[in-house]
Amino acid sequence: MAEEIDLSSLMAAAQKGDEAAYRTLLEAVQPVLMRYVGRRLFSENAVEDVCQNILLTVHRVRHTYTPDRPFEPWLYAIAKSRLIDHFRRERRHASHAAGTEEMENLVAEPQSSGLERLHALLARLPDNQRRAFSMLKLEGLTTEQAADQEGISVSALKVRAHRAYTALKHALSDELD
Amino acid sequence: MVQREELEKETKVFSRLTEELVADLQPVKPVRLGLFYVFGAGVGLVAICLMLVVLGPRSDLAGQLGSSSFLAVLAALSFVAISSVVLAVRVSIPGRRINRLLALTVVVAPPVLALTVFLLSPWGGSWPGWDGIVMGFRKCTGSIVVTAALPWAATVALLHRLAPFRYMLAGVFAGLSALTMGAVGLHFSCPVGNSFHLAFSHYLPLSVLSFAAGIPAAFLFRAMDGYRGQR
Repeated sequence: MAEEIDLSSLMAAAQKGDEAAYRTLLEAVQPVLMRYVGRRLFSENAVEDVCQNILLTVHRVRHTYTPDRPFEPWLYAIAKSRLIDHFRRERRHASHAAGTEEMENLVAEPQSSGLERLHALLARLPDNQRRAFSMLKLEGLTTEQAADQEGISVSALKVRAHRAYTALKHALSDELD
Repeated sequence: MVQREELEKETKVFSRLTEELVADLQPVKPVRLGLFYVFGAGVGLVAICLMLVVLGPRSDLAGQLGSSSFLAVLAALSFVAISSVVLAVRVSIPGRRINRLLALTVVVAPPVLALTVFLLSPWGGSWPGWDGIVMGFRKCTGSIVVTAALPWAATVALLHRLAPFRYMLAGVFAGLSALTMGAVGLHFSCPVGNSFHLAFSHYLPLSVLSFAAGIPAAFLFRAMDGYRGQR
């Protein structure tokens, strides 16, 4: 007979500062979230990103959970909001897709001219944005690994990378014009 | 409830994040909505009192307090103000459902109130002309907006302490609540009983302005949500 975990009690204990209960809770909700998000997103990286955001949000707004209420609706409401945010971001970034695609073509281009152009454009970026771009697009690191190397949060790294994409897109547009 | 057997099958993708969050764990007090509402009501009353101090109570207030029409409008405005702040709070707590009928009722209440006052015309009144409408709008709607500023700011600040992920909805209800508090204050202060004036300057603007007030609130909620997410 499988042992059941009462998430409400764990969250109530976590609100009081019980680290063991909190660890158990976070480990218990991870597979639940992976399945919930995984059913709605195809990319494994996106699923992990959204799940990370959900866990960070759970941590941040844990005071809004009322212990005498069921835990699952609270968790799923947060998960839904982070998914919606993800879709909003995707839609916003879709407008940058053309530019990003061009950048990826430059990276993939075997001729030295493509790389030279890319390096020339990268040289114009601030250091932190250039590093974020290089780690994610040239070295192939995951956002988590790159954030770890930089010693910053995953969200902060994504912001830097996004700024780098935007700056490169504008630079490419200027060149094409 | 989650089956422990299922957990053991899953790989721990987020073990590092888990450890970071556990290390960052501090005790928190679950949000106490009673205090929230008491504070919100207090701020609303202060704003209404300030309006009455600045503009003065209407000269016929003592007589109006015995009028059923006056009290019915007061009750309707109070209902909208209280219900919309409750809705704003519920929208800002994950997992809390809002009563859709109540939400629809408070959103349509100001135009319905305007139409009712216009049709029933309890205090009479003839068309004041567009100049009269515009002048009344500037004075009375302006007073509502100024009075609503404090409760709006307080409500947005309080909601921000919750989790207003449905940014616009929370902002609109916060705006509607604050503006209706302003209208309650004006109900005690403005002596004009002309139906056109009441409809165009007291009630109809509540709906329009609450949506307008939702935009900066939504922007703030979203910006703060993103900012806090990056920390």
